[in-house]
Amino acid sequence: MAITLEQVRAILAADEPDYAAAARLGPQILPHLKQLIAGGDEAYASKAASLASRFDDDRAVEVLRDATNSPSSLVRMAVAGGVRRLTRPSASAVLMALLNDRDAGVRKLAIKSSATRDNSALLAKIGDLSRSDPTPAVRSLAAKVVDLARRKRSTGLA
Amino acid sequence: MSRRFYFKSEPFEFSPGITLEQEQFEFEPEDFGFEWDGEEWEEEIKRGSQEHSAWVQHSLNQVKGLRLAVDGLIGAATRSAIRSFQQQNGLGVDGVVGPQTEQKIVQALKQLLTAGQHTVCAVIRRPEALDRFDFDSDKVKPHHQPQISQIAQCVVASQGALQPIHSIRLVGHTDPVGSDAYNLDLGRRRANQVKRSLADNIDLLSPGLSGKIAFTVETRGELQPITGDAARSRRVEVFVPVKVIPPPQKGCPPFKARLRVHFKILPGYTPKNASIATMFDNMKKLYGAAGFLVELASTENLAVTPNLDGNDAIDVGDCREGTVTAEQQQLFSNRNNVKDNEIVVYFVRATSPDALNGCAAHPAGRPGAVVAEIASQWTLAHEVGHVLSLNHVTGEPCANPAFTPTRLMTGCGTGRLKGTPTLVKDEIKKMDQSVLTVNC
Repeated sequence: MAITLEQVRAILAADEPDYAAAARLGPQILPHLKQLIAGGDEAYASKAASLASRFDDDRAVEVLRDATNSPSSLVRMAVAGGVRRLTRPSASAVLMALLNDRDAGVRKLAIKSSATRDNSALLAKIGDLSRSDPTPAVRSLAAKVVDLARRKRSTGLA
Repeated sequence: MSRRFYFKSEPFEFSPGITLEQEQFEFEPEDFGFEWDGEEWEEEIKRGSQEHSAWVQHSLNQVKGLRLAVDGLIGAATRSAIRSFQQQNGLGVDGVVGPQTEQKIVQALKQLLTAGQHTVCAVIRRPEALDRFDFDSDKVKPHHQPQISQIAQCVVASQGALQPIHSIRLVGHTDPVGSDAYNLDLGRRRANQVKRSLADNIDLLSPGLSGKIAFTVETRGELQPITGDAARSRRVEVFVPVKVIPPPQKGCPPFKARLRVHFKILPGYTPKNASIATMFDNMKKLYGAAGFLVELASTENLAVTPNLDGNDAIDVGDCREGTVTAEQQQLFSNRNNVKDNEIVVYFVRATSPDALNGCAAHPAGRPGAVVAEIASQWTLAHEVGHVLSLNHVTGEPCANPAFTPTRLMTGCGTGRLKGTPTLVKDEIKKMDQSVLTVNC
């Protein structure tokens, strides 16, 4: 039986949604999630983004990429936090968009999520942020990530 | 000159079976009819002696708030006070201070000395002004002594309290007579004299403690006079950074227990669905109906820190009880003014990696929860419920959009509640059993 938008919404209404259980509904709910992300309710939209990141699927990456354009920084934060779960190479483009986000909190989360990926373009962007981001906390975090990556490379752990 | 002095605080056999340690008992020298010689005085005093009787009188004055004449003569008033003290302390009532009564008096004095900060610090004004210095003099006057003594007691008592006092600022002032330069110097000298006297008083109560207090001496000279009152202008203002924490109220009828919560708000927190006031009001009403008084003990706007700067979504991991991330550890370490059995709610922008309304997972010994901007008007009460060991309701058909939960601890989302939710009997029992709800 097909899952309806209202059912997905009902599941995401929880104060602490059980995302692992919800993900068992399968990627077929991604269109609903896309719709919720585009909706005006930031609670549902951000939770929908979190749930979408549970699907390591190109369609999920697509949903998340769209979500990076959300006017809600909470939604973009949810994307930035969740995208670290995605192993698809295409997810790096999502992260790259978030590293350029106007919200410092989003950029910080994107840096943390990017740190788990071995992607030279992302690392170069983080290097840029370590030098030129207007927010000291972002520069500091970016510098730490760059430094860690360098040390990993020098010890052959990369 | 009237000088206050003390039995020295070194441990000594005060009377058979009673050793005084780190205790001082204050006397005015004239109480004993001999002159103050300017030197530290210590001596054993014998029960039944005039000195001992004076000690009894002075102690009863302190302990019971009496105004007995401290003359060392046991008259009717003193005898009556001793009997009253004995009666109140379950002792044999004979009006004579024997070993047991003596021991009880010592205990009562100890309690006074170690009384909470709120007790001894509450009377200190902010600042405490020691005024009416003699013209062109920096000598501390006898009438300053009670104030200095009170400040010293507050400083000592605070060391065992939540906010020990580590610094004191003294600002000296003068009247307008004299040159600016002279008065600036005079103001500084006055402040230094008070500092010395205060340090002495602190050390008498707790030897060596004054060395750990950072005294800052400043002068304003004649710049800030008390208008029209030259004598009051000749003063030293003592700034003691004490925040008096009111003692928990005793009893809270008609409630059977209470819990105290503290709110700490990260910069940038902007609630989307319900204000903090609404959430708290809801919690207070709901918990109140269940018999629990909810007290908002404090609200603090947390300062920006490099690694937790308010832009952040707080990493709560899987938000599982007993498991916390480094960021949660860091956030929950902010417990200013919070006692062990009190709850802190941190209001944050969002949670990470997943968006949650809130999360009640907390480090051991630091009960609390985070509440995010997307919280509903009942999320605060819901998360605090988790902190009080309440679990989600089981068996609810959450995926059914037509289902309307009715209980606070619904797992379907407090945003779906219509009207005021309920707490069931077992939940109330659990709350009652929590160490965080303190019986009235």
